[in-house]
Amino acid sequence: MRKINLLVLLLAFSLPAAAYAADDQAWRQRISVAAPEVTNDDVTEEIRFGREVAARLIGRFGLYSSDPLTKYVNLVGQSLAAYSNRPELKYHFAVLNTSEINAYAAPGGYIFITKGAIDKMQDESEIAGVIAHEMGHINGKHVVKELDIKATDGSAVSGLARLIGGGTESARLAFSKAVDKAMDTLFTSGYKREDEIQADKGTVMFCAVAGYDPSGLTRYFERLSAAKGRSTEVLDRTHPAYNTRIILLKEAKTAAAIDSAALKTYKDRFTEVMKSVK
Amino acid sequence: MFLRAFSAGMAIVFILFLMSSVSTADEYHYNNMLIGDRATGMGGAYTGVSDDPSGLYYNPAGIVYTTGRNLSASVNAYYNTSKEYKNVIGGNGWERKATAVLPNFFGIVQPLGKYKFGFSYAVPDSIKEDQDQTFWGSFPTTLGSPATRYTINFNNEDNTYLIGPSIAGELANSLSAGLTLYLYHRSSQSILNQLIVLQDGRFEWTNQYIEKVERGYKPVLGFMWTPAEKLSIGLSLAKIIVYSASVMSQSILKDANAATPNDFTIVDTGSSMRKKYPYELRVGAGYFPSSSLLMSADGAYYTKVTDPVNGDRVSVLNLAVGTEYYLNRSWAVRGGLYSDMANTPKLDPTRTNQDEKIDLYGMSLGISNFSRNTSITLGGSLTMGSGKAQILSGSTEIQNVDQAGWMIFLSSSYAY
Repeated sequence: MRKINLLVLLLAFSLPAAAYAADDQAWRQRISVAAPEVTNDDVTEEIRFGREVAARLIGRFGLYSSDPLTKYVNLVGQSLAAYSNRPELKYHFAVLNTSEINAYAAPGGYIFITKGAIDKMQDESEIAGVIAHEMGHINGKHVVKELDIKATDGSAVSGLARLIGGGTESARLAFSKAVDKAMDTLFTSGYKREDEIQADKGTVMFCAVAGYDPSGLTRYFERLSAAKGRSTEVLDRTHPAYNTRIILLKEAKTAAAIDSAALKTYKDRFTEVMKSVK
Repeated sequence: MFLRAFSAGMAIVFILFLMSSVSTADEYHYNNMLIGDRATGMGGAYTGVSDDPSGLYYNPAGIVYTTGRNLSASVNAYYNTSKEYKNVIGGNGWERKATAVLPNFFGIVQPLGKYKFGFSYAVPDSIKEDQDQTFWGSFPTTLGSPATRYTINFNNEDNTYLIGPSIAGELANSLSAGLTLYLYHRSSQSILNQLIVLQDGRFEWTNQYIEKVERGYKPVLGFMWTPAEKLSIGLSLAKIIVYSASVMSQSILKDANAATPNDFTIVDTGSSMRKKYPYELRVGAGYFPSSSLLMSADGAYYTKVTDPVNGDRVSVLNLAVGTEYYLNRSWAVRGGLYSDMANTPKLDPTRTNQDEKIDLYGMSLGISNFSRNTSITLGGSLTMGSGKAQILSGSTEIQNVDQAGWMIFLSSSYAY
């Protein structure tokens, strides 16, 4: 054993001296697991997964029953969706019946804004900003990549592998667990910080292209920042600080050299719809 | 081994031909079954790689580098081994054959926060023997008359199971650590039936049944270090610790010199002596020159064991080298060479009842086909070696012995 102890000690002491800073050990990855092309089946699976997450969100809060508001949010959403870089998806928008201030995106094109969030808004460009942010998560495939959502392998090899190892049940279990994980991301752990930043930055150009004032989301954040409380608890827990986001949004707008004067907030339209809701 | 226990229990060596060193499993080697599909194809040179569920067995620190959200793998294998002792009885050889068909590994790895968790099941040793052999001729005995017939019927089943959870995480950018805590269970049942018919009409018959159960645990502590790009060094330390054991044997002897033909002796014995196992230190390196090529090498050192009850064991160093090459994204081939050295001391021609010593060398091959989330692997290994044995109880005679074994396996793995 003395020889073993000596070897362990030798290795332990040599670590700090010769450690390789291996942040990225992608060289371990074998060619067989290199990222494959996205197929139609993958998109179908993403939609199926998103539908499951959406169902759980609706089950948790319920839908806010107001046809005018639902129609209005859909019109704003579809005007943005026309400029989405994912034409393979059909986007769905709905309002959740909760005073909690938040918005959620489920993979496959399902976007929800809470009634509490809309109550804090003052014009249409703010709704557009929030929807654009959520679409950024979907278009960036943040959940899809994080949870590696893809179609079940239907090849003969896969069938034989399932026969040998009994994988069908495992796959079903994995799907269910992935949905749990997605819910955990939405309500507890949040997206990765870099994913949130990407979604925020993308909002500026997205809104501008659709004809909305890209400062809508900034104004909305400034208002929420002043009104922190229980209703923003989940939002605060799962997102970067408002100040950080506001600075990033302003920097993105400056970098894009967008003239806000030419773009609209559609405050009147927003006010008109909200009158019918309240 | 159990015949040694038998002899001690009966206090007398009744007949010349009792075999002294028929082990119920291959206790004289530590590398009886290669575990895991990829690892087996690479000759078990996997301590420095270990980046799939097989790593739970070889070096749990390696699972930190698994790709895919969830991974599982299972291996189903068929084993066949044979051993031929030369010139045992009247110039005749004695052959032992064993087979086993079993799922010898299942493992699953899943990330959870900063850590990766795993669960695995492995069968590192399994043997099933069912054989009968009769020698005819005129063989000298100590019973006052030569034997004209010697029949040996032998049935034996001996399995070792490991099952347990693992956890692994990064300690630093270049260093990860992992721990697998296996529950250890070994059970064996064997029946040895021997009949000697003497030329003068007398006969001697023995029947022995032995049942052994061992329970314990086997912690495997592993580290994976990345000293340079494309190079990883793995180290793992393991030991089987037995916390309960029972050996029950029943021996029935009809002595050739009994006063009446119906006289026979029954001896029941029991023991709870726990077997001692060595520390197992594995050091391995993996070199990843490209995404299509991987080369690895392992050294597994087993410490000396002093165990007067079950037999002393010498220290052993087993070596292995392996390689993996991807022909394209769908096909990969693997090959490996390995040693499986005997843990018994060199036989001394002046002593009796010594354990056999056979050093084994093997090669393995495997081919995998990958689809999107799954892979199937077909592979096998071939092991050969020769050495010395002292198969006859109470005799200083040493026999030459040849051992050969082969195994084929079919496995599947998933990433989902």
